[in-house]
Amino acid sequence: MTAPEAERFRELIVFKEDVFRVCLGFSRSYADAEDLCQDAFLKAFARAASLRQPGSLRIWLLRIARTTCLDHSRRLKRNPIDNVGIVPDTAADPQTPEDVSEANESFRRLKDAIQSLPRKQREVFVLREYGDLSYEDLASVLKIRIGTVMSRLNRARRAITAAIKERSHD
Amino acid sequence: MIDKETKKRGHDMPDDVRLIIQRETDEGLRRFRAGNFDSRLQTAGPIRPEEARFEPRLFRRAWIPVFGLAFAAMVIISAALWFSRAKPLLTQEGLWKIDAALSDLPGFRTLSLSDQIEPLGNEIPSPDVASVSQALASAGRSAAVEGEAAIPSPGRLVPRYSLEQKMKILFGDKTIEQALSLFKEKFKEV
Repeated sequence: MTAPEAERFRELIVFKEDVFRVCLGFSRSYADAEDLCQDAFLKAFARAASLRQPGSLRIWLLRIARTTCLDHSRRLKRNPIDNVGIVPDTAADPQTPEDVSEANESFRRLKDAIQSLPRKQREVFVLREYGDLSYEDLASVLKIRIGTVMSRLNRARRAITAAIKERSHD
Repeated sequence: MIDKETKKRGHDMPDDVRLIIQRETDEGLRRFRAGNFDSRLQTAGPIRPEEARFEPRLFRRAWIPVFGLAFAAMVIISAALWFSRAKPLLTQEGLWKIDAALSDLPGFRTLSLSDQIEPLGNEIPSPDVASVSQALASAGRSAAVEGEAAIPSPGRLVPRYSLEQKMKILFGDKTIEQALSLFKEKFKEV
């Protein structure tokens, strides 16, 4: 790795946790999230020369992460066999087997609800709730107006809440 | 945990959903930090710009000798074809035959000093021979203008022409072509 490449690597790797959180929101397991995060960084390094505004490095990187994750989701839909056997990771530190089961079930319901969202609502929801982006940053990443961000986020939250309640009653 | 923007403007997320997301994120980040992502990333693939990747450079390098070999092969084949075609179509023997055939034409017929020249009118020339003689006579006139030796009129000795001179005389005038067409069959035999 040359000196400029190493410098660019250091500049980008600062945002690895932001990218990972977004990938975690889009994927169904920790392993998938880490793979997607890696893919996103590899793409970012490959396209680093095309970056016009170095100041918006985080936004640019999150945009690549979002595209990578959506591409991955599309591949999963085309090849459903790839989706078989994905077991959600234990999300908490439960005390009893019942807690483990309940936590896994809650996690599964949430992931199913996120995956069932329309793409536009899903990306706003994940970037906001997992990536912790502000409305302004969301508007920059998605290249939409803040009002659109808010309306999509509102609809996504309602849909998630409704889906989780519905699945918990089942 | 509920942000002010959400409270003010939109639908509120239930706390249990927010808690699930928080737990998942915390656990994921804990594992992510424990793993050595940086080194894994460096070993996963080329951490360099697309235009400087190793594969395209290798691809270009591999094509240089391929193009070089193809170019060399084209040059060798072209040279072989060129020299095979440059070989003279007429051998010395063929030239002698043409020379002999041209010498047989009435206008070029070389007469020895001992030969008797028949006066005109004694021999009735065939129409072919007459036209050739006429054509050669006109060609001889044009050659004389250029300083060449003139074709003598009947009754005089014909000087010996070289093959080159004969060809110049023959092809220097279009009328000769017409005369030669009369001897087409004879040339075919040659």
